[in-house]
Amino acid sequence: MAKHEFALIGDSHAGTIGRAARERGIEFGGGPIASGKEFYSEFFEVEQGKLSFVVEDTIRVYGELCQLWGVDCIEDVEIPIVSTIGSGFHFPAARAVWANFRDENLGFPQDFIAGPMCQSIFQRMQAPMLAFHQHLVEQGKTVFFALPPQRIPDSAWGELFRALQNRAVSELTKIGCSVIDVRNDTSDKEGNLLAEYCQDNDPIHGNTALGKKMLEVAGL
Amino acid sequence: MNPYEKLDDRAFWKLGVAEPKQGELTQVWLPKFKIEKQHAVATAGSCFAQNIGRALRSRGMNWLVTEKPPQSLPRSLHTAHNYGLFTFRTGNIYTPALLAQWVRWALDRSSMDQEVWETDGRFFDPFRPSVRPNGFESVEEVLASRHITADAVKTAIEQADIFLFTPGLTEAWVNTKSKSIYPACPGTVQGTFNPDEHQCINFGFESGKKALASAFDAMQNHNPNIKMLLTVSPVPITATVTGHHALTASTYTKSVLRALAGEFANASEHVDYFPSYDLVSPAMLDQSYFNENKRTVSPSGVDYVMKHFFEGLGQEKQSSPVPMGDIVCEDEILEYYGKA
Repeated sequence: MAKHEFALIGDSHAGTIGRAARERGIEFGGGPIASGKEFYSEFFEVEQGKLSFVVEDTIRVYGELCQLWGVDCIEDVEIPIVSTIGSGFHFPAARAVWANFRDENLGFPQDFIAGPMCQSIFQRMQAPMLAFHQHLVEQGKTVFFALPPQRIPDSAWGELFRALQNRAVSELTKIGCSVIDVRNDTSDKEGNLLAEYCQDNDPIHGNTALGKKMLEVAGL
Repeated sequence: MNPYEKLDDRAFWKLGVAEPKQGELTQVWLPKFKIEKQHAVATAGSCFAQNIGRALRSRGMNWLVTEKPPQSLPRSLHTAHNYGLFTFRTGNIYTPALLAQWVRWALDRSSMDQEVWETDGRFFDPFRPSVRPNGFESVEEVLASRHITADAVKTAIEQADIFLFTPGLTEAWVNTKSKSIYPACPGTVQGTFNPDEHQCINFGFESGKKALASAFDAMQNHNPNIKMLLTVSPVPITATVTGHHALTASTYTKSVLRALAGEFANASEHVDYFPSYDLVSPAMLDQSYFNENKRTVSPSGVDYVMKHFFEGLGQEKQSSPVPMGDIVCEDEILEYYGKA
């Protein structure tokens, strides 16, 4: 087995990084283990210091990734871990979730997002993904968290997507994760991903050009 | 007056390729027979052929799938277990000879090889080495699974209106004792290489054509209405053991496959050739349709090939809807592992 330079784990956004690494000829192992929605629930447990997933499908894929990495569990991985777990901010920002909080103008009341109720909901929503990364850092792992492509599908609120993202960056940095942030180089004035970095025929994901930027920024 | 004077622009290099009036190649493929939406199309071949099945499905055509995953297998693992890549779960069929072997096994089960490989207590199928990443529990499970795939190949032959085959290689590894053909060199994907048992054969024009004829004759004997659509993978070879440079070995491989596919199609009204290789490979094209590794075809290259395919079928103005939400993410994951 070739020596891997990093281990990749995440939601579907991990595919952007993995494909870019393949095109770059970088030896790595891993990819998505579930779609992003899963990571906005209690998706893992830690028992006797070892992490395990709770959804059957994810357990299977995680087992295959561990085999690929040549370890019994992610705690034994000795190379940098690149994660996109929890980066699917369009799921917690889904319009359907927040429909009852809108005012008569179908927007959010002033200061709603910065207010205690919304922040409390954010905290509950992001607690599992933050705990996941915190566990890895506490095990002495080098953890990179890649921000998602700045693409907000019609099904999600842009303000909430960005607020959730900002909060994640802040909290993950406090935990000790390195955040892979290529927004300055890949976004337009409004903060949306430039067309040249968008996956064709897809409203959410980035292409390999974006993945390559991420790898460059991470020094991988 | 000479025969060239009445020809369309497409017959001339300058007007058809170098300076086409519409700015791009048109009418590159004029199908010999109709392929309508209701026609069942089976697909098999090298990795490039995986794109064709997906494209057929996304256009709402009748892509025939005769081997479906068990309900217990999560969707995220379908591709890793080789489901949904081709009509059946043979994995890649790179050579006409390997196709002929699968057809023979499907229609005459007594001819099927019983070889199984064992590594660290897990069991692997030499003829489908990547269908189960972690291997099978037992020899019996491997053979039972191989029989299921052979059943699926037989069903495909029975039900298909069109059998679309995309060979990509001429070099193949053969067991010197059983004469069975492996899809990959033992010791690469799975198994252990044994120089006394494993030999590389570089199939030439005549032997390749003979294998293709053997496969299609057997299919037609079983299903007189079946037609074959041949196309050659534009993806260059990964490596060669012939002693030649990879570039010249790849040129030889593709030349042989392109020639035998053309010859085979020209000789039968029931066989046609679609020019995947021709559309992507020429060095004089305006842009490269290959990824940075100069081997795999880029998404825009795949789109370009399939655009010509559907144009040929008279479906150029249809487009597939952009999927949303969970489906997009699930598809992204499937796509990722499909290219792994």
